[in-house]
Amino acid sequence: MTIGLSHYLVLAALLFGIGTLGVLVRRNVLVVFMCIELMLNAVNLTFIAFSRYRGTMDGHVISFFVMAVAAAEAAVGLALILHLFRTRKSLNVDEANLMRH
Amino acid sequence: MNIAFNVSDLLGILPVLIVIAFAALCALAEVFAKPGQSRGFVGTLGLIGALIAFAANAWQWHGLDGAYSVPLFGGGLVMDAFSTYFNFLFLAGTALTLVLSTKYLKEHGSDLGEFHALVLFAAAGMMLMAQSRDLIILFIALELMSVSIYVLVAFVRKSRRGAEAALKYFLIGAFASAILLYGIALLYGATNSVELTTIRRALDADPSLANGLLVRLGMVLVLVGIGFKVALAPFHLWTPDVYDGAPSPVTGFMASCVKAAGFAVLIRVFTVTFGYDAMEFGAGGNGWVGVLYLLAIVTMFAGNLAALPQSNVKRILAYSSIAHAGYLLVGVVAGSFGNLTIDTEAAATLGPNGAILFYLMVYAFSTFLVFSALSLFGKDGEEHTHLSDLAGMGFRRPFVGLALAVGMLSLAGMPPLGGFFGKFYLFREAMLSGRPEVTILVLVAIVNSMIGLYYYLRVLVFLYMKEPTREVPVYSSRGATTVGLISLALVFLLGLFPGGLLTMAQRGIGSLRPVVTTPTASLTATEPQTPPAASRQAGSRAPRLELKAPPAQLKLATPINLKATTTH
Repeated sequence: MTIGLSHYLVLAALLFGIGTLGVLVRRNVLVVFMCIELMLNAVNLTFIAFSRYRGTMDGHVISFFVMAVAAAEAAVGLALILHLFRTRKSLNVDEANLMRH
Repeated sequence: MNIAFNVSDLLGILPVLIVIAFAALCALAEVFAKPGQSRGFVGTLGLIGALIAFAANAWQWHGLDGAYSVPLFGGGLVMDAFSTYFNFLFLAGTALTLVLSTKYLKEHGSDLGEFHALVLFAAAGMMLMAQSRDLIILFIALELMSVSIYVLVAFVRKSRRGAEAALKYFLIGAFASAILLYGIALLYGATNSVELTTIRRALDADPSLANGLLVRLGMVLVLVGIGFKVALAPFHLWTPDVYDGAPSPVTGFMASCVKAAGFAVLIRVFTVTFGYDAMEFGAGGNGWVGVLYLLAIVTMFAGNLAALPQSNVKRILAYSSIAHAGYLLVGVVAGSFGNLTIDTEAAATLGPNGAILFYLMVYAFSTFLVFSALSLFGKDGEEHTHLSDLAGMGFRRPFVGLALAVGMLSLAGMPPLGGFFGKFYLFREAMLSGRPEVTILVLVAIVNSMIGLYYYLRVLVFLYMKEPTREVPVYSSRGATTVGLISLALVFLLGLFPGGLLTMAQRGIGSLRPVVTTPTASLTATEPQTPPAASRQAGSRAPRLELKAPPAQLKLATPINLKATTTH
């Protein structure tokens, strides 16, 4: 059996699905954040698989942009998580409910 | 790699360059400030930058022929009347935000220069969003805007609500970005390009591709990603918490400019690239208009009904902004029927999409009018924007009361004010499309506007008919007064003399039409038309997946289309 484009796409779709599910069901902010990173990496895999399949370089270059953006997001995101942790000593998203009352 | 870079292209993004330069200056100025010194001068520096960029934008506007668009950097970015119109909105919003926030930051103990730098960076992101014609540049511009806004929401360090709101906005925003990006990846896979004009040509060449799974799924994911950003129901649940927790000037910035940037993208990507006859209701098209149709109805009701029981003015405004996104979506749906496809005759009319442009401008100034007053309520990280905090304010602080009252009436759509004409033109142009489905949608929108009257007028009741129950700190500021006066004047002027802005909106939307009707004219002159097909076929080693991409389609796509993003 040869490994073709569809294998990569299905793997990427599965990773993306796992990431989405994690964002929706997990309650720890850090785990949610990790799941978002997983989604971005699934997207990278899709880009690179298509790029390889088409024989063009676009997808390879795009994945570098995505990595850079993900790094910027991670920097800001971790700072925000730290900021929230300082004020309320918890990383559970369900306890972030000041606005409800 | 084919890299198209002309120095003259830099002139096409001159306002963006000015804004970025001044953002860097603002960040640097912080270094030279003495400890304890007021950072008002950084705000002034930022304001100067925004005004210079505004002037540069006006220069571009006058240099542009209305129906002409100039591709920059090999087609990744574009300068046309559409993007220039939006740049006016973003720069005006940025200037007003900067003026409004100087005193606010001092009162809340977060007087730092970075605030102004971040507002300018966010503005640069928005401007690039309106100018981009390449999905990856679009994504990076969107992230530039979003990441700046995440920080701005948490900027007042004493505010626990701000920290919480920022984290929620960040998690939802990053989630939405990932979904958007996956959609882009699928579109790239289907059409072998991330450039909107190339995608469009690939879809035109092969209708079966436009109906294929990859394109359909990609479009839905892109729509969901943008839907999160402009707060369409059912992707709106973050909005009330974030609008409530964010500093008031930032909330105003988000409600006016971020939303406008989202709709600029929505119009350019959906109506122009995926729009027109192939995408009719169900009839063999992608049916995304049907999806938007449902989203419009759900969004209007979700916003208006949820706003009714709210008792915090900022939460009311958050739900109101969701409802307004719903009204604007009515225009997007109507604009996707026909008007854009009738090239020469329609170019002389406003059309539903042109009405959206007008509406966004009026909505932005109404929002700033409200927030110029609302930002005064509070001190030291605590904002007092409960309805009962407003009680009697109409008499104790007449100008604050007047700004809130007129702003609310304009948002509600009362006749002499700009908000009324925004709605009037939007609904009229939608009706002119002459489709029974759209007529029903407009009727739903009118019913919703009536529901909306209740919560807007409720604010007025508290302002003028209730006795104050407690003392709330309300500061006064020359900056907020200036913003209030400018917005007040514009809200009245746009209501009494809408003609000038309507002409501008018409010209703005008119510059999009040639892209639809003649996709290969003038816009794509810099792209290689006949790429070597052999080199691309070489990589095709996986026949099992049905990509629905026959050779006819492959010939149309360009091999390398990252010219604009690989210039360094």
